[in-house]
Amino acid sequence: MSTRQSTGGRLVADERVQLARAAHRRAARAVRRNVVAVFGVVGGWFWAVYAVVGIAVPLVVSGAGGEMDRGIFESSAGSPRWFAFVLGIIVPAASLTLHLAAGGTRSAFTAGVARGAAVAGLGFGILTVAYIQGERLLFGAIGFGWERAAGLQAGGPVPDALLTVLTEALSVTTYVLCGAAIAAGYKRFGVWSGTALVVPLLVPIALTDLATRGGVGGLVLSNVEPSGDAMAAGEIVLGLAGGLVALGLAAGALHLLVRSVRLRPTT
Amino acid sequence: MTTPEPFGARLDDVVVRYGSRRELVNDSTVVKRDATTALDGASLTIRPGVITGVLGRNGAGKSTLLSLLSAFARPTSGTVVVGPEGAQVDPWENAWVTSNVQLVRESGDLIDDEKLTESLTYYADLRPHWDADLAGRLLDRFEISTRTKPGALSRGKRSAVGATIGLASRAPLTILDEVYLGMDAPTRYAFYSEVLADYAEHPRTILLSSHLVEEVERLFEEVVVLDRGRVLLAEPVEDMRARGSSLTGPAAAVAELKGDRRVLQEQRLGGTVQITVEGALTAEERAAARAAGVEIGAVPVQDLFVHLTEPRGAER
Repeated sequence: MSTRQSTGGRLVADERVQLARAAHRRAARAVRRNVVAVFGVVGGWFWAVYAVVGIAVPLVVSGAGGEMDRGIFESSAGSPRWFAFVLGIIVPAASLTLHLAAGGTRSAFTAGVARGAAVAGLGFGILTVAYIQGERLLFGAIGFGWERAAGLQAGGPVPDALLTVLTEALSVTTYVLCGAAIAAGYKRFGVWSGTALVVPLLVPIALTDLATRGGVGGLVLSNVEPSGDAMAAGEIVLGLAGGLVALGLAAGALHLLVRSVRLRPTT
Repeated sequence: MTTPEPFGARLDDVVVRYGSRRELVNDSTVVKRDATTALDGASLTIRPGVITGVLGRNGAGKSTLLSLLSAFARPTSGTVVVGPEGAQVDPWENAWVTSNVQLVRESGDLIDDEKLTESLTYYADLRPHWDADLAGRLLDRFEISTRTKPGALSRGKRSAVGATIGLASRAPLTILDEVYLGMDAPTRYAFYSEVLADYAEHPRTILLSSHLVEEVERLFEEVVVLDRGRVLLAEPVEDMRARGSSLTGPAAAVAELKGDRRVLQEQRLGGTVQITVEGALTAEERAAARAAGVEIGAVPVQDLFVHLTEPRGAER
């Protein structure tokens, strides 16, 4: 690659802007790849273990003559979301310094984490639908009743599945971004102020749970007012809009916290 | 691959303060005081295309200054610009600048619990001028496997990885901040040779910060000395060497030549004395020295650095 111009050996401003954009894209791509790779491997293992537990528990309960009135997914209050949240803390915390040392900018880091989180969210959404369908079939096979009390429901297997992919993708992405924002908060403000920031950074998580009727918020809502049948279109749109607002808040918080991170000298 | 234009840098009245603390003062009010002032009005120009040594005692502000150039940190006040001559801009969040400035810190900045190849791939992905062949050759030379996890490397090997990254990045501004810590002597000398060879082949701006002044001064073309957050001097290394002269010979003749000059260092062995005096000798004084059998020598940069940064109370 040549960065030297034939005219006077100097780069003109436009070329510098183009090189900056190319550098930004390269850096954001590297971050996204890193986030996706970690979620692919560690998240893959999580889902494998989760599936084994999801199969084993009903079989053991059934073998012991018992019955379950709720599936593992809903009982665990969206544990995949919390797993994504923890990975969201770990991955950026481990890679931000490397990213800056390799010449990446903070904005490229935020963009890369956001894109990686979106890919991870979509993956988790698809796996959630697969898991729920598997759980429904298993419960039916061993004679347990099964119904979803949480989540947005459109009324019909395909719309429900699509809506679940969408809401889980939104929520998991929000969880990952909030985790990343918490890690950035510690990096930016240190232990005490970083810890103080954890509580406000949980607000988007609470909002996405309530809006999409999933996770802990969904579990609480389902006990008060089960989703049951198909919801009104307005209710679904409102839920998705709430999820988008939560996602926006999480992305905004991450951007604000990462953009001012300073790396102090180590010597 | 064409060699990119070397980057220079300029700092104007830069102040960097880290952290703060609140203190209770006499009238029962609480005031916020700065905990650390790492740089205190530093002004400096880094000339592009040369190897510059950045010297200073512990806590002088070397690492802070270098972290500003690579946009690891921002100044509390003052301005920092980096880039080729005529196109220097604020490096903070400027992807064009940051992708062309490589700061290698003593800590290495690697992912500790993944194989070294993961970190190197990351650097290669982001660095527009990365030379993978050079990285591979250097790691072979330093006997480091890319399958090793950085967390399992000795300090010296980790430093060698940092040195490899610094050279293989081929960044127009390459900054090596105490990367030699823990390296054994053969590795250090191999590294110095590699720096010179690669610099000759791919001219760029290199900043070297080191406490091993005696070892690395032969690499320097320019020197910056920091003291208590301020730039004490920034000049060609020959100018710095000319700040002092070494006289060795019979005590009486040396004393006469010394005149009113300030003595920076003195050693005596029987009737022979060796002193380092401030300032260069005139042509007449040189002739007189030769006639009196007094040998005139160059003063090592390290000696001058030690003298220049001597704590005030220790000055003679």
